Amino acid sequence: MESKIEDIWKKGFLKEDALVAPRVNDLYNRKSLDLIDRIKRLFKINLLMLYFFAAAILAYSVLMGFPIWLAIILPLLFIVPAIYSQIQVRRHSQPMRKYSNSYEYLQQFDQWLKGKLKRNTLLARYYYPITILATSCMIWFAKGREAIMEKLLESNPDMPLIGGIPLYFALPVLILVLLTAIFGDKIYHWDVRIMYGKVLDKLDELIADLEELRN
Amino acid sequence: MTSDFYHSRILPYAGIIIKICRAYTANQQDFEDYYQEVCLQIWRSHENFRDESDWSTWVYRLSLNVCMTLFKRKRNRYIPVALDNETEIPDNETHTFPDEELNRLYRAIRQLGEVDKAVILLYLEEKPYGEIAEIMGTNANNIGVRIKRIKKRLKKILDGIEN
Repeated sequence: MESKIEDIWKKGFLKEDALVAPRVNDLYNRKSLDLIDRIKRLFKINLLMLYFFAAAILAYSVLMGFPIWLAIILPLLFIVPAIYSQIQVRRHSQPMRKYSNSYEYLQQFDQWLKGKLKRNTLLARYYYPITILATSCMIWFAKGREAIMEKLLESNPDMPLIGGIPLYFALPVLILVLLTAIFGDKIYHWDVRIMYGKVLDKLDELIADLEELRN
Repeated sequence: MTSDFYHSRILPYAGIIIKICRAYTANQQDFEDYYQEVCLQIWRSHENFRDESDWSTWVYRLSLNVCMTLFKRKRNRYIPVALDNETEIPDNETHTFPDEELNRLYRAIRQLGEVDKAVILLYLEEKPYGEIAEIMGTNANNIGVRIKRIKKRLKKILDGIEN
């Protein structure tokens, strides 16, 4: 070997055409598939979490000896949205090959996703208040409630009651129910941002990018 | 990846990616696959980039990791016998640089073990030992000795190619 490897390296890369980047033909298709896969993976994690909470709360209800109607309603609060989401995702699942390009594929997915979020936003106005009510019932029916009530009534004999429930408990619950009914849509959007914010931004970014490339 | 992202964050560093991908691939098809995979990984992971290091250092690290992973995967798929540090893969080269000496050097580099390959590429790119050690996740003191050994080995391979 005559030249030092350092010289061969430097000299070799001085030539034009030594560093020609390959065309990135398939990159957008792969990125689109990758992104949608990530969103679907997040859906799955979300569903698993819902089923897990349903099972956990069912076990908790049995352990705490909640009334049967409450032990049924509490897990349903997680199971119903999980099944609803699963049906929506299954109905949508379309392979990319059905579309002529990744732009159409992403556009269609984005529209479907926006429609799903819109429907869920409407449902959120009912879902959150119901959840608050169910959680309050859970607290109300928790073991040791009688003893606490007795102590409360001993120290505050003139405590106002509504149907046997102290006003100090019923009032905050009522306020929370009202607030979640009014701001349910905002809470839902905030919820979605926490879980899917990053990937949804990437989806918008990728669609904008593909639009730019088409123009 | 926005095309803006590709043009501002990847294309200026395409040289780094090309140099690394070429060291791990012997034909154009594989090279393009590796290049695309690196670009895709940069796009996927760029949010994890912290300003603790240079963007170029990060691109080096990521490119090397992706290439090493793909290389291992390919080797395991096609060569069932476990190989030691030296990876004698058939070099049926179908892509070349305009400079013949550089092609010979790359042929020799491809015969090195995957870690040695990465170290020598960083050395040839004039990365300081400290940065090479940081990228490779090793001690800076060992790098100098290792580079000497690799250069010796490269010289031997190049002499063999020449004769």
